[in-house]
Amino acid sequence: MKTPPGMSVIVRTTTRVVSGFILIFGCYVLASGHSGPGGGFAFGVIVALALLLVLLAFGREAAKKFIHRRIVALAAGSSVLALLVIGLLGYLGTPEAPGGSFFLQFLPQGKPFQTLSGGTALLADLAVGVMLAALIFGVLTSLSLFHGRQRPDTSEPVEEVAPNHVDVPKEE
Amino acid sequence: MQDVTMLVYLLMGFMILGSLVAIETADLLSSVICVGAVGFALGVLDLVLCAPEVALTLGVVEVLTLVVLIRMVRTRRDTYHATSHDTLAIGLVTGGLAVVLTLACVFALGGLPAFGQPKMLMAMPYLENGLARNSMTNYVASILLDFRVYDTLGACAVIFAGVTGAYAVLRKKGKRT
Repeated sequence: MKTPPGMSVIVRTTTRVVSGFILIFGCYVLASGHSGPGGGFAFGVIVALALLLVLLAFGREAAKKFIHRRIVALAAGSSVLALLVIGLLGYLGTPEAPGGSFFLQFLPQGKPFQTLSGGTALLADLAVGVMLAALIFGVLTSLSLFHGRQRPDTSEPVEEVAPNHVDVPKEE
Repeated sequence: MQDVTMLVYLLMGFMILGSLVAIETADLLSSVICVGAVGFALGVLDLVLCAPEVALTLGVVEVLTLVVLIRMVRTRRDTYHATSHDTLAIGLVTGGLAVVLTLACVFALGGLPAFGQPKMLMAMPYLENGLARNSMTNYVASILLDFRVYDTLGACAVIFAGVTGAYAVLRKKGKRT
């Protein structure tokens, strides 16, 4: 029987169950970031970790089908641009400050401990998080460490590896 | 406060021990695991010192780097042995740098005000105006994402540029074989 790329059945089944919950936890960390510990940075890394779990368990080709490379690049680029646009929208000004300034707080700020409070800070947090998740996942897929291809098990470690040699990973 | 101080010293001792083992061990995988243990001890230290946000972020980043490093060690399988000659040269350069930096610090820090003297000069405006300005109860996020969001934009640009460079190095298309 031909074994599919990636890890064993146990890991794959666990990944199917758990990865969604990890993503939800990341969203919780983002949504509670302005009233408690958490925030965009942790959100980005948690989402990247969930995607890394899928990448490790199912192999790189399956993960590519799951999330296309173009989507990753689009998310990374557009979120950095969105952060800049949030700053530039501050020039529109508010009734209190008609001229406006870079990164002016132009949204209603809400009440403390509300989920939707903080105005532009929440949007900026979201932009930072999406950017980090996309960039980390993009770099991980670009690395040659996560091919997930099978290779006959050699008990002896490879003796001589040239510095630029890209090794096909050995499955454990 | 006494027990917290003891815990901090214990954790720092553990981290120093872990770093020494990570440097001295011959096996790369053991070295990587020691580095991970040091990182998690740093996360626990942040938690003890009442910085849950830093602890959360540090723990998550630590997991990510640990997974990547272990994967790298298991796929690459090359071990480098530093010879005594290398160690001597590196030690001499590091020691010289340390001496120069210490002298520079002694020279430069003489003109500064005493330690903690203008008390809360920078922090007070943030603490006084933060809640009224953006109604965020997490003051760290408030400073990072509202007061100093311009800095955050710069940091994002730096990360974006760095990762774009990594893409350019790691790309397949147009690479000479």
